[in-house]
Amino acid sequence: MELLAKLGINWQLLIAQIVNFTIVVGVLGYFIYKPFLNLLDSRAERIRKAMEDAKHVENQMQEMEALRLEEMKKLDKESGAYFERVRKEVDVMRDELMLNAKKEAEGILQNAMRRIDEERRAMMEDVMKTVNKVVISMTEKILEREFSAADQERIAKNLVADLPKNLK
Amino acid sequence: MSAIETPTLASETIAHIGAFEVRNTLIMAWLAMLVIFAVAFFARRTKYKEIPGRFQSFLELIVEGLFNFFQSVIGDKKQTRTFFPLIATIFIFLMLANWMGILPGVGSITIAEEHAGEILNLPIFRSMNADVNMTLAIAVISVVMTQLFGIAALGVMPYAGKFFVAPWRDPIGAFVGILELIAEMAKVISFTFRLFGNIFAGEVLLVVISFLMPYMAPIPFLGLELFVGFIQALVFSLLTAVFLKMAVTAHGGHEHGEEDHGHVAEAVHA
Repeated sequence: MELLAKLGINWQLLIAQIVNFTIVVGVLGYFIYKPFLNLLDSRAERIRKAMEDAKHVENQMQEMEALRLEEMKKLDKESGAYFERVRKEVDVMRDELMLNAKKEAEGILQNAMRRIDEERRAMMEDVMKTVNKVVISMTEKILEREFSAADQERIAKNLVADLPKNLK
Repeated sequence: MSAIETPTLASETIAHIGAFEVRNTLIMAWLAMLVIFAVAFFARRTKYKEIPGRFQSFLELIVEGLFNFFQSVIGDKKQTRTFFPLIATIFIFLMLANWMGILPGVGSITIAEEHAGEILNLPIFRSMNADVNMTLAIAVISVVMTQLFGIAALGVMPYAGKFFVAPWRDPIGAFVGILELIAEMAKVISFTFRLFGNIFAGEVLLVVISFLMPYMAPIPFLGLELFVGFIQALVFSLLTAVFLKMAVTAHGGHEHGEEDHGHVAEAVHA
């Protein structure tokens, strides 16, 4: 007891300090520990959820990217096939066009040849007619100068009779 | 040269409220409580926002840091959450009081009182933990709460089984049980006098150094006292955490775990 007295132990003070400490625990617990720990927990939960969401979004993006690449591949393949088909069609069309153009050119050429033939023929006819007229005219002039009218008539009748039928 | 006035072992009575003695260490306890209440008041004013301001961030840093530290010792989040108010308050309250004990004016502002015909200069403020009443109060709370948590976790009989073993069944166990019981009581004394001894010794040291070399020389010792104040608060709270963990762990069920905690306790004691 003497030691306790020397140390100044006082039961009232001891109880007062226990009460003080209990009050401090209560105040800190109510105003600081509980709200802050709840806040930290909720924040940690929110961060965890946000990270999960971010992961989910990232996965979705990866899936979408994979899908896009797949679609691109498919489109590439489809467009390749399409271009090949178009190229073939163009080739066919070009061949057709070439063929048509060739045919048309041949037609034009044939028409031109025919027209040239016709023109040549017409020209020949004209030349022949002109030659005939010249011949006749020269013959007439020669006959007028060299032969009598009766001889001239006889010779003319003989010549006309000898002319080819198409020149009559 | 005037004689050195070293602090007395017992705290000094400054006033009386009826039969109740208001001692200088109690005044310091009230001042420390006032600081804590002010912090709690301002903490409430932060409204615990999701996006914290500076003050709230500071408080969050302390609470989270302490929680993670004690969780690393206890090893279980749920148990840490249960014990946290007690062990964190021990740490904060003791450290604050220890640090407030080296503020200017503590121990040096005195009132004159006549005692047995002699005029005594009694310090109005004295470090809270330089009083056995305070350290004993927290030690009692720590040990009693350890028993209560142990009983709550294991049940009355299984918990009592740690201390009371029938000698005809297990004579060694019965002897160990008695030792455990003595150890529980020794914890109170160990807690009380470790903290009291360190803080009181610090007070005496500062008084002696200030007496011998009043200028500059006490500054390193003030730094040392800050460190001692922190370490003692940490040791008190850490030991409480370890004893709480040991109390709620089933006897014999988790021998390996207990052994680990035993090592931690021994290390902290050392």
